[in-house]
Amino acid sequence: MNYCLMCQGRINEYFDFAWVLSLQQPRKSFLCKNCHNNFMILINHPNCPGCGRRMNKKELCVDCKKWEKIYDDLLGNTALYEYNEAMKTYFERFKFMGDYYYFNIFNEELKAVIQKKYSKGWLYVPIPLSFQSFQIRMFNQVEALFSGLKLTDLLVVKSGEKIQQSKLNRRERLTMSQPFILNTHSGVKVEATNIVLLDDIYTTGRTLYHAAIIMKNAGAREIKSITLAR
Amino acid sequence: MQKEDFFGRWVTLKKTDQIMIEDETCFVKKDALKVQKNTIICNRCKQRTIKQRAFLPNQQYYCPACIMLGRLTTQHILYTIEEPNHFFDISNPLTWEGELSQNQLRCSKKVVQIQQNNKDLLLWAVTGAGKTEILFAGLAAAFKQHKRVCIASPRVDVCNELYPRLKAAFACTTMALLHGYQTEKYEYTQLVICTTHQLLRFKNAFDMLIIDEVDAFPFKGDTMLLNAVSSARKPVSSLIMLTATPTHFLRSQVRKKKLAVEYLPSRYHGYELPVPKLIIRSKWLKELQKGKICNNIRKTINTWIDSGAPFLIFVSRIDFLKDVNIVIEKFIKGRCVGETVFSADKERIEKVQKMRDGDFQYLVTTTILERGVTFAGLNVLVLGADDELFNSASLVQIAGRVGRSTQCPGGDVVFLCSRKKRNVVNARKQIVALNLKGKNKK
Repeated sequence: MNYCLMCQGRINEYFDFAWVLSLQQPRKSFLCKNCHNNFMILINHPNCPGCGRRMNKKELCVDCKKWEKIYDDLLGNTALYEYNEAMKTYFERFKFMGDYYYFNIFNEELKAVIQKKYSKGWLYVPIPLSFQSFQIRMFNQVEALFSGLKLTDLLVVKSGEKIQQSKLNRRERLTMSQPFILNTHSGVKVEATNIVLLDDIYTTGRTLYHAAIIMKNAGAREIKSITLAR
Repeated sequence: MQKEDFFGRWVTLKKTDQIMIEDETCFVKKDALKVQKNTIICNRCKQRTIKQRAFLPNQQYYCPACIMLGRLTTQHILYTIEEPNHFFDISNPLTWEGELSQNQLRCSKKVVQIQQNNKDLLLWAVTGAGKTEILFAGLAAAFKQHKRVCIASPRVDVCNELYPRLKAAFACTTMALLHGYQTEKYEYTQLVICTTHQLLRFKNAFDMLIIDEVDAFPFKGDTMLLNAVSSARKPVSSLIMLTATPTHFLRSQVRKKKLAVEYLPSRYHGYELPVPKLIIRSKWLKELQKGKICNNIRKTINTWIDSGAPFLIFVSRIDFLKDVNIVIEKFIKGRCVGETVFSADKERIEKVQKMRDGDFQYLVTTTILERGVTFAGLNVLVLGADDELFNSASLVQIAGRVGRSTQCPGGDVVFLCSRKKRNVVNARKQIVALNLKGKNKK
């Protein structure tokens, strides 16, 4: 019997005729239908081509216009879900309480999207975690969400730097200084490669653009990003 | 970290942390998790989890069952010091001056006796019987003997309501209120008022453990919380369970004479519990969906509105709330105001407060208001009482909202159902039986 991770209720699975004919293994589901509907899907809706936020028309949002003035290229972020109440409770449990198993809920979906959009010739670079946060959490939530893919650790957090953005407000976030440096021990050449940056939440875009500059300075050709929530 | 923090309580530290206190001999030390072949067992909540659910990427494990109290991993160690009962002498701890009714006095004496003999007791007191006051004599006796006492409840609102009342009744006793939404630091106190989840943090701490509303969610049927109760109390200690609607299991324990029981079948004002009136109408739901209300219900609501009495309308599901409210509003035509309330409602507390203040005359609600709320002179209507979501315990609790004050001890309880189902009949039977018992005891 399967139980929903968000509401602990039972999951009713439907076995229809098409599924029987397809001879597939039953797919393990982690959410019930009701809880799944609480997460707002963003792809297949008109959204901002810069950050993936939900818009009425497909055009740049106000924030992305500002980023465009500072940096020439936008990240073209793909966000799967809107950061709403359901997503907030999800991150509360997964990231802050540290229930590692919850990465399963979105893992399959994220993998499918990334393999469809950026299949060949792209390096997958996760946003790293500071040493202190890792000590407490004992896992990197971005690596967990995208586990199963070949990830390249090109970034590290400067020692002594602590990026706990969830405790800052918007202005404080935007004025944050560069927290990352290039990982010189990775043994991977960044020059003339295409890079997809991976993160859990896109809030102001500050973190991802910090990471993007490092990649740009190291000689990367094209830089895109994917996040679970926006 | 102070030594007092460890008294009768699990304190978790990482293996890399060092305790600052010199003499290590008084500590009881335990690994947080026991790793077995396919499963791990948590030493705090005693739950077994398969490894696949509990692994961390760095070859460590964690316990997902009690994660809301802070995650325990294989890198943690639990420390505790045996409860020493270091409390001050208080010659007369009870600062409450009130009088108990004869029935209350009888129960109160029983509680003192149970406390003295370290036994278990089920206190089956009807809704609105004045349960808290019954405990006072027993608590006072326990405090005099330097005993450590805990009052736990599955519901946060019950804890929040109990704390100021006990603070007023025992002014000199140290007490703490613990629950998940609280930020205050833990302090070693003689009386602890907490949610049942917080009991997991204690180890052989309490000489007297009182559980209010034992049959409420999430305590009911939760093995983890049952374990928590048995490990939080001392091996020799008393346990007192309070409820108006004991579960089947508790009742069978009483029948087998394994559990002592004390009834408090009449309310403190001495009036009987209102017996629910059944209205059976097989197609009420279809009628309601068309915007119609049957005549019987119309008449009762009309009389309530005319007399200006507040009333609650209970429905079984959150999705019904809006539809029902639209129909009711249409019927009322602005003669009085009301709202809908449900568990995840952001204005839940304000709306209930408005109801208390008399700004609203009615609320349409789900089972969240079945316990722990008191409105004077209330009437209650349950739509679809035969729905499986209303078990007989919650129906008795709902009926118990009515007639709680001395000024207006009467009131109407109306159950509308499509057919006579067991839960409805049982609920009615229980109320009638309790009324009969109350008459005989007088």
